Amino acid sequence: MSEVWWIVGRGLLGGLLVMAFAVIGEMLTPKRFAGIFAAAPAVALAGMTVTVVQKGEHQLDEDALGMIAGAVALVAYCAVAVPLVRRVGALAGSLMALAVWAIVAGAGWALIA
Amino acid sequence: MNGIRLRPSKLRETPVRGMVVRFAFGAVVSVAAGLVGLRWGPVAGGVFLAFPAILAATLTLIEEEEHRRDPVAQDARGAVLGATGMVAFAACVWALAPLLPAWLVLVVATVAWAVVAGLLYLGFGPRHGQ
Repeated sequence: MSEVWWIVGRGLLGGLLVMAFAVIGEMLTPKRFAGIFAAAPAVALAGMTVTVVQKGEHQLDEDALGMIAGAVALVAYCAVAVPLVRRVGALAGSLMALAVWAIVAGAGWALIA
Repeated sequence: MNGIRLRPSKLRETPVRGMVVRFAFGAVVSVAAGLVGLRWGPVAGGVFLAFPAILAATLTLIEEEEHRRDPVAQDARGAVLGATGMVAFAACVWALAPLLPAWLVLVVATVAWAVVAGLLYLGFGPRHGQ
């Protein structure tokens, strides 16, 4: 598989899986339960599947090790986003919370690396 | 289970634009994580497999659709539980990848995500209102 097709495949699969989880979330109530699907491992499933197809299974555990740091940072992001979106709105709140994700993910990555 | 309902009819109220935005964000984050992995190695790429861009898009779309902030905050509260499930997903893949075939690892990890997020919802979600 050429690099270009690898990138196209990754993008298509990632987009489709994110959309699939979003469809499930849209159909569910209450909102808090539906929110679980906004933090579904769609991008991870797409990325890991394409990695396995392209490079074999040996890289999967390294991807997952990095993802542990990213996912812990995502928990911190979501926790901070709750009061922020109430106070300043969805766009500004979720953008401000990105700083928290970056700090926690960076610290986690430094710890692992 | 604590008032959880699946209403397929709600899909008709969902704007096509919302789905297109989510597809685009999913595609961009997937490609970006791949490129980071190519440049700085698989561990760094793995960190971006949990980048919150899709959540930011979802929260913004909910606010546009509902015209108020409470449902957005409720969605973000649910996302805390989903994100905790993502830690379980990643830990599962990390622990099982050397032992099982990749497809089975991803299936087991996805089930672990759903179970952890679901149990957390039962424990913490409904108690604090809708």
